[in-house]
Amino acid sequence: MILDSSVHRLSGPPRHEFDFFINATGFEERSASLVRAKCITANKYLSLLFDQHRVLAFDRNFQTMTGVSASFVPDPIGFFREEFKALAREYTNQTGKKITIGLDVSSMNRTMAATTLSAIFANQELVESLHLFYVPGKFHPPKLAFPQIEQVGAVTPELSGFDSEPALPLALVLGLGFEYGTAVGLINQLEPQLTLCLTAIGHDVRFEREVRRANLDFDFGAYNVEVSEYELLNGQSAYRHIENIVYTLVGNFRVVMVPMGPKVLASLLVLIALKYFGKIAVWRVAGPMEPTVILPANKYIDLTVDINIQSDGLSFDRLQDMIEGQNLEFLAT
Amino acid sequence: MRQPSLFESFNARSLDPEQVGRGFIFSPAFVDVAARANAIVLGPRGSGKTTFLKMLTLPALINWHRKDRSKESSRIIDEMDYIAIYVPSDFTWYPDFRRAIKVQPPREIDDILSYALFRSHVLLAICETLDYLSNNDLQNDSKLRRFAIDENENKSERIAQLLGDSWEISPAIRGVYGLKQGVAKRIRQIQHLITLTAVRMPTAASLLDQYPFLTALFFDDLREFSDTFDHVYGGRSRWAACFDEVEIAPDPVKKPIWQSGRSFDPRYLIKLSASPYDAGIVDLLDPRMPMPSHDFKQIDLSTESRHEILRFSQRMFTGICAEFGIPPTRAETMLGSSFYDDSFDSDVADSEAASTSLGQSVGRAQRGRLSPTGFYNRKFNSLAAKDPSFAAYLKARGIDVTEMSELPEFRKASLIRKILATVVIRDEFLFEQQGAPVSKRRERRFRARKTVSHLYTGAFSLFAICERNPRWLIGLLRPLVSEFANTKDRAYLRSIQRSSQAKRIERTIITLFSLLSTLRAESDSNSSIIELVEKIGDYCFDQVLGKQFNAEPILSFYIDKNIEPSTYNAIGKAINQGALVLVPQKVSSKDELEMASFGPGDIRGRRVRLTFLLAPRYRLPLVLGRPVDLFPVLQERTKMKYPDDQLILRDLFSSEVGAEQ
Repeated sequence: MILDSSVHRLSGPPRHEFDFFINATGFEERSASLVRAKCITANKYLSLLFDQHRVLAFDRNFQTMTGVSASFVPDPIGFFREEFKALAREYTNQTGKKITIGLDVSSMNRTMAATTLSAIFANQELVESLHLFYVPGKFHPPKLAFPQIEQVGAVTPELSGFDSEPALPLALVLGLGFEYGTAVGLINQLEPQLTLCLTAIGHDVRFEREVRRANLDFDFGAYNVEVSEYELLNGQSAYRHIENIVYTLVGNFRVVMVPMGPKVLASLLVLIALKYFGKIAVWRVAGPMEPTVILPANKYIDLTVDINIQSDGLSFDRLQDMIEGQNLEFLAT
Repeated sequence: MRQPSLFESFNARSLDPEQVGRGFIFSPAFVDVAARANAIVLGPRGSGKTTFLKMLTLPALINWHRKDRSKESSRIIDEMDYIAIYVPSDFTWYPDFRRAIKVQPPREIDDILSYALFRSHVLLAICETLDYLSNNDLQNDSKLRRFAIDENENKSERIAQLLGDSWEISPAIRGVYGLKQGVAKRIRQIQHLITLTAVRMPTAASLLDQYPFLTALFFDDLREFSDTFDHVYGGRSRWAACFDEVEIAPDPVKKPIWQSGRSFDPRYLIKLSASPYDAGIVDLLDPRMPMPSHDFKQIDLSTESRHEILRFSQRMFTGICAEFGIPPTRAETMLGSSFYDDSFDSDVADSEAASTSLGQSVGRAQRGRLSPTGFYNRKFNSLAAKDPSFAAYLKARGIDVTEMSELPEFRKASLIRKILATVVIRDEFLFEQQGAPVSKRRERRFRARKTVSHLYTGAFSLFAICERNPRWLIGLLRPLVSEFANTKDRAYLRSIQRSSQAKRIERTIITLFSLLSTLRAESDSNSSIIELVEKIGDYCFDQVLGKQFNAEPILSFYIDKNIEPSTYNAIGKAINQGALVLVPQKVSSKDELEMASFGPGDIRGRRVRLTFLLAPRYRLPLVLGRPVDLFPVLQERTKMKYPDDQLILRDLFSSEVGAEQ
């Protein structure tokens, strides 16, 4: 599903051109750093907004995106359910060609990334190509506070694993970040038969060291947990590695994936869940969030996503139906 | 895919009944669970509730008896006259886990669908049970084949067809396997409907019109199954419906389950497992209704006798050792003796303390220990030298440390043994600063919380702090045994180092704290569960290590009527996770038991203490202590002591907070 993966410096070439460029304007410096560094040019910029935390670098990012005449999207979920298809169709009608999309997930939350990617795959007949961008943050020592969980659940109804086999045992695929407690809490509550924890390598050893420390050297006590590494800067390899694991799990388990850790992992797991649409769940853990300054590392990852794939689960027509809230008879029978 | 070993897996939920049976460690409580009576198994998470219920199933019993030909296994199996239908819990019973984040369907619709989901799991459990009745293992088991049914394909197809008709399921394949597939398909259909309601909101009435199966009741299904079974196979069967983890079951099913002990079909026994606290159940049940405790035998796994805790822990330890090829050995040999337990005497007659202080059963205060060169004598002398309040206490009571061993027994009990635990702890944690001027030396100072004191290490201390919780025992002991088994110096070392044990305790405590932090207290609560535990722990710390020597520290608390609802809820959740432990009620007769019966999930008025697992964090003795009402204690301690009012990981054992006062 990931055709190519490359890493570039924020300050240098190449320049990427798209019909649509989609990002989120948040409080992190990196949310608009690709545009600010002029790495991107697009005919249309769509910038998703959060309903809170308009602090720190938000104003600067907002100005940057205003500078390229971005259309701000205050209700991303509503937009992708109700407006995106019409917008894409109108564009293709005007230009006579399918659209090319650049998607920067650096500052998107899991629901935003899942909703955006789902809408793109639901409308894959309108899309020529999809590039996924991620700007890693510079290392910042974590506080290692005991995390609080306010809500846990599927990122979207479409990615709730609603068509999984109920008689199978549960397998949990966790992306590890600094939130050891969240991982332990989820394992304790779900009590899966198998837990696989994914930890990123290859960007900055300080992250790796701190993630290991925060997770007590990956010691989960009485819980039966396997830990596996993935290459953060090589999305193609990371995707292949994780997808291989999920492929072996999906026939034997109900698979629930919880992407903590880097945002790019969330997108990779969403892509995997789309590949097995209906069979795999992607969950998000929501807790109180304190905006902190995260500066962009001077590099970004560019992943070329195969937009023409077919689902190994339910068909993408069903995905489209769910997103649009139409033809839902298949859910009622 | 490889199956986890018994001790590798943290929970019986992920093990087949066969595996549970093979690794089962018998406990007398199982006799009550298996008896011909309705039963509720209560205990915090990880305490073995699922194991007990799964052990009632035929495959588990067969495998247990194959491995363990003891009188207990034979007697229990001989006396069983019912077939258990085990209904496992499923993560989709949690409202959060069955729907998308921030999607909240109307209560009525959620109730209908969650009930239907639960009911379908009951049907699946019936299919599993029915399927096993013609299994070869059962047919060939000399003791249990009395429950087997003949492998008659016509009958099998007949019962599957009758049940399918009753459940409105049309299986694509005939027989029990097809029926099971049909039920699985039904569950998937309900999953679809849950998703549908998140995307487009139908009305409850339209759902019920379109899907009549949504109105069916699982107790009717159980009754119907029994009728059908007797009709097809003849005879009059007896069953036990075993509902696991009732506290996470959807609300609409809780009430009928709790009420079933009185009113359900006499052919059925009802066996439940539940956490001690259930926020919703008190509101659901009619207060005029007879207490479920009158209709169910209550088995509380957190109140086992100290002897049983020791025996069970030792057998768990032996099992873990066997997994790593280490021959059966006494735990003290590998983990060392416990200093702490040695501070107790088995002759102390306080029945409440006896029920919780494991030390009494294992460490005998040898006469020599009180002699002038003995261990306790040294502790008394050492503490008296650095703690003026203790010196004054001894003086006021006319205790001459040099003559302690000569005191008559009753004086030893009232003067010495009563305070041993506190003396040992104070002596361990109060210290004199080296090199300080003499005038300053008498100031109270504490050792920093950099590591867990070795005082808490050793076999019986480890067993005590694990509270007979198999998950804690496995989590704490298995890595130690694994490391020991793989060390090159094994022949030389012969035992597991205390520093490793201390580190392991520390990690287990951090894991528990991490877990507690993720539990949601009530949305209107102004205190988290961690904060609650910290307040109680700090209060206990002051009781034991306060300025004045306190011979009878307060270490247990009544959940009194002044506790506000949100705090009550936080206490309940802490109990369910094992962070707080319910103290057994003192009852000596059936009448008293009925008088003392609390409703299901009700903890108001009960006495609790901090789990001994947290004793190293707050530097507490492993004893019950005197009780007081909890409300004033929590009122008194309103401020958090951490910067930004937030406890962070490294505060637990590496900060200097509290190192000096």
